[in-house]
Amino acid sequence: MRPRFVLQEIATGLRRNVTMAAAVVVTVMVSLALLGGSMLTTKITNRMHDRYYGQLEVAVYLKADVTAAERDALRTMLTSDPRVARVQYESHEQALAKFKSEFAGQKDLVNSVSGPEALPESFRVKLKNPKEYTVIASKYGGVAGVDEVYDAQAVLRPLFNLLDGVKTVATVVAIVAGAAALLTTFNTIRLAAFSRRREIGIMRLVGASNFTIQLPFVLEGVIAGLVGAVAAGGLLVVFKRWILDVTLQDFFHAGVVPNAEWHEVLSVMPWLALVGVGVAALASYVTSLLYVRV
Amino acid sequence: MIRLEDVTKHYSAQTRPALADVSVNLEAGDFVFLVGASGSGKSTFLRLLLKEERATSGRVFVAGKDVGRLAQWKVPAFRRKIGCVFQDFRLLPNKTVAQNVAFALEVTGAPRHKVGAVVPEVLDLVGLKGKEQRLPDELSGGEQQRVAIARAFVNRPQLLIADEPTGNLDPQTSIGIMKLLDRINRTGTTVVMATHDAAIVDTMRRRVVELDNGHLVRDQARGVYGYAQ
Repeated sequence: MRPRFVLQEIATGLRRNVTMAAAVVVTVMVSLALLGGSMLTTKITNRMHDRYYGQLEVAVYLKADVTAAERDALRTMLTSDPRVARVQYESHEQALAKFKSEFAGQKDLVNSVSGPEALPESFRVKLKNPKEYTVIASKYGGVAGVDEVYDAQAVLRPLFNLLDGVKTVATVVAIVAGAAALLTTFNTIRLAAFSRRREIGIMRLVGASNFTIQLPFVLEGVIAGLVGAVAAGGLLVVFKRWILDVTLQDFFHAGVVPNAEWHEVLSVMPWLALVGVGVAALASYVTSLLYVRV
Repeated sequence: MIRLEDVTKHYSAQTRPALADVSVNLEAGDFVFLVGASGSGKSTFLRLLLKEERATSGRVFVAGKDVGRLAQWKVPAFRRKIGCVFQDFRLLPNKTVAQNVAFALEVTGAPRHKVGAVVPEVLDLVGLKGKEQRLPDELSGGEQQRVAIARAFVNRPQLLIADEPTGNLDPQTSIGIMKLLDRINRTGTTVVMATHDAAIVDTMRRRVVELDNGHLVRDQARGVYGYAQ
């Protein structure tokens, strides 16, 4: 098979079918861009997990009237608990010092605290598995001297839920758009096979192999898939450069949700190309089997 | 070259068989006219040789191959040994004369230098030298058929099948085409030609096989179109 001949056939096919080829490219682009968005959200969520779950502690606040015996008993209980990785006691004074440094910018708030007694003493507990918070909460909630078990993660949970939601929506829309891309590819190849039925008939007549007859169709699909993937990559770059880095700049500046990094955006692209090309090639191959009838 | 053994072909929609118990043996190098009224089974006969149809019963041998048992993936290689010419030429309208002929070589994976050497040679043989860059629309019917013959012959097939190649041509042009097919036959290529053209058959005096309602009714060595009473 001569490459130049195959390329000519593909060029003819794409030129003849340019509107349908454009439709394939656009649907592939949209579905892959969404797939890329979902992949990036996963990366961000994972990064957030690593950052927060590594640092977050469960705070076991003690009652103001806790006795020394109760405090020691609780310390022993926590230390011997297999779920607990590390226990650290925080006194009234340490709590106040931490409070002062955390809210150093807000003088009124700091001044409103009368003395060390205003802030409760606590055990700062780091769990081996941060998700076991509820077990810890119910186990220590009723122990003598304990006022409240507080999970700092609880604050972040809605945020994780939001990111999970974004990821789910992006994935679902990516699948729907992917189905549309598949159907469009299917239809395009079918039309291409129809518009080329004369050539196909003649190719069969002169003894062209099935491979030779199908190759231009499969390659057309591959090219459309690749162009769509490149366009989707471009879309992600535009999204990162002008939406994430400019419009949503303040949101990320707060530092609660990390922004997508450039290396993450780039690392997604080969996968988009792989998925785009693979799916388009498969779809065109199957369609050409059905409609080229070699 | 071609042997049919008790071949019957039924199309599912029809009660009457298109071919009924046909046995015939065509030697390598033969020039055979296949005659008969429309619907007599000529086209089915030719389609069986190309494995475009499968015989309902009986066996078809072409160039030593049992066509009915030929694996589907071997069909392309098999068809390269057979050239085909049709009444409607079947040229690609957007390709030039040279490209149309080269097409048959290119789809079989022939290298460029071979295409470059063989195509002008064959076009010269069929008398189209100097018209390589024309499009089929710019040629007369006879010239278009010459392009089709060049394409059929460019792979040097052992067998050339022609389905009413002069059906759309005037008598004068038809004679030219027949001379060309005769020349190709003289190179050793077996030619099987279905035709309604009595004048041609009567002039050439070659082997005539006649079909009537799917039955082989005549096989004559130096035959004429109608019965020579």
